[in-house]
Amino acid sequence: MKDIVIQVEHVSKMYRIGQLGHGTLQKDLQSFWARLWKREDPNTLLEMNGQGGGKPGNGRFLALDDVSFEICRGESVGIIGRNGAGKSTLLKILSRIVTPEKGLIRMRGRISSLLEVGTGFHPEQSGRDNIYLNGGILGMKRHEIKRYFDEIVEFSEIGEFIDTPIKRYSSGMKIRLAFSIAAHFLAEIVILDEVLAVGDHFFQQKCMNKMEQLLKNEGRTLLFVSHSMPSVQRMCQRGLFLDHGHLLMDAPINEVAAAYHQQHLQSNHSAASINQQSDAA
Amino acid sequence: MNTTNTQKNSAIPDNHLPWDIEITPPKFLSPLKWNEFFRYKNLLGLLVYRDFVVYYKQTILGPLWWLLQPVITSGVFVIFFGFILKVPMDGGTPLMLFFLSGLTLWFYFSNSLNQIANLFASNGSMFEKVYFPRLIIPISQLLSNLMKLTLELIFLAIVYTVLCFQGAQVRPTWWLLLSPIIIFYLAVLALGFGLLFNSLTYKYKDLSLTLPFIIQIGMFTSSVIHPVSAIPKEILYYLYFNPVIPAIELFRFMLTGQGTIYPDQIVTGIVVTVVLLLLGIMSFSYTEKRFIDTI
Ligand SMILES: Nc1ncnc2c1ncn2[C@@H]1O[C@H](COP(=O)(O)OP(=O)(O)OP(=O)(O)O)[C@@H](O)[C@H]1O
Ligand SMILES: [Mg+2]
Repeated sequence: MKDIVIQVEHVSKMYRIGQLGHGTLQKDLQSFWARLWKREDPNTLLEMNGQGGGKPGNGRFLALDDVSFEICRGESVGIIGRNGAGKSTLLKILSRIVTPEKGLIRMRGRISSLLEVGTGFHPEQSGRDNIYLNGGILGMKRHEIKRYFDEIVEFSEIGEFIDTPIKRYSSGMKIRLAFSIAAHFLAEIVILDEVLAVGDHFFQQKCMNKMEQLLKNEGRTLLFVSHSMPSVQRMCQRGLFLDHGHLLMDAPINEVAAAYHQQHLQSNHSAASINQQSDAA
Repeated sequence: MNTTNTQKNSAIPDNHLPWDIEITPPKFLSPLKWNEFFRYKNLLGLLVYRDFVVYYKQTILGPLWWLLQPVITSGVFVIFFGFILKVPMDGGTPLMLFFLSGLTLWFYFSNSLNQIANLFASNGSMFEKVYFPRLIIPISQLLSNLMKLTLELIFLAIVYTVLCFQGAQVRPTWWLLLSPIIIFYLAVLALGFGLLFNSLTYKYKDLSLTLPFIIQIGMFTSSVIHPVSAIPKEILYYLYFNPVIPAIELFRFMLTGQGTIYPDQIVTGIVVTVVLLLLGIMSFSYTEKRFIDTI
């Protein structure tokens, strides 16, 4: 029986390229006016009701283009792709930081995300206060947070720094604390976007062991982005391969990793041949 | 397309549990999920505590800073408007009491407005990392400002008592028991106007730079520095455009029994406030889903 916790259907995300500058206030008013009267927006060249995404244009492009997949409880899914492929964008949409332009996503359970470098910590406040604040952000009650507090501090190895303002923490210490919070608080879905990169080698190993244990014992679901293939292959059974906003492949992680390398080699070849041509010219 | 998908899914038997979270493209105006607030009331408490404590974390005087803003400003105003410019006052009210009462309320309003009107600009780094109902932030700011206001009002009461012992000819009225309504009114006004301003300006920096200017002009046109009775008849109509005036004048009337109250002015003030609140919440529900893309 399938126990789906994340269902993503035809999700597209459009971004603007370039700087907000002259004329945008005017353009925004134009679009606003058009939408108010249900007319066609003169500033959108994108076809929003077609099946296969749309044409980017007019300073806009699709960071995610018609992405669909489902994730079941207890799965660990690695998302791989080149820089700018749309991995972080996808995770930000799932974390409800940004909204998609198209599509539907449905989820069950609480979500704890560590998105890219930096955390939702308040720099002036101590680690202790920030643990409570993060628990509150997850919608937890005070006594629930208290129950996990000691475990969090111990795992993060922050020790006596727990009452020091976060702004005095090293970047690794921040990530340790953030990971520790994400791992210990009750969130059914954990989202990690390139977070382990800052931690030292030993802490990385510790985190991966912890995640494996959580996946096995507590039936949590993990979405994991990393450019370190060994970690992805170790942590995940399944892989999603994103390329320029398209979901190219959804398969067991080893197949996806192989395809990723294959594509990389090919693009290297073509890049090399282009270089040779331009050298010759 | 979406409707067929919904039907398909509800037909699958293993989807026994309801979905907790649904993410769709933002509608033009999506309704706020008020019930979500109750799940996050612990967060609200933590945020109020944070604002309250962080404000004086690295200062020597600590909580005294809250008292200094209205006290020093009142002192300066007593000298300038009382002795140098000689603004005509209602008889009997000591100048210190007059300015302190007006400024205490004014600073509650203007500080709250300043925070809420910069909601996205000053909380963007948090909003791009974690999800929670965004409206919790302005509400927590109003509450922590309310705690500061309470301290200031206690101080005001002390000053009042001292002045009475020194022979001031004013006494509070029973209407003073209704003053929480005035504070609530100012909170709603700051929320509505602040959210609207925030939504209109977060994208365009030059617009948001007008805020300090607006607040400064507001202080001089909200009967903070003069009683309503000092306004010449010819320009009395401008009272109807500034919904802060009736609040401050009414508070002073409750406090001292002196003041000029126009009932129709109170009614227009309430109407303006309600309209601003509706516009503020509507514009906020539109921009809250979109602003992260543009910061
Ligand atoms: N707020 C934004 N405005 C405009 N473009 C954006 C915005 N955020 C992301 N993008 C663009 O969307 C694309 C996808 O970005 P995303 O961060 O998802 O990449 P990624 O797969 O996480 O890459 P990396 O491996 O480098 O982290 C990029 O081209 C990026 O420039
Ligand atoms: Mg990324």
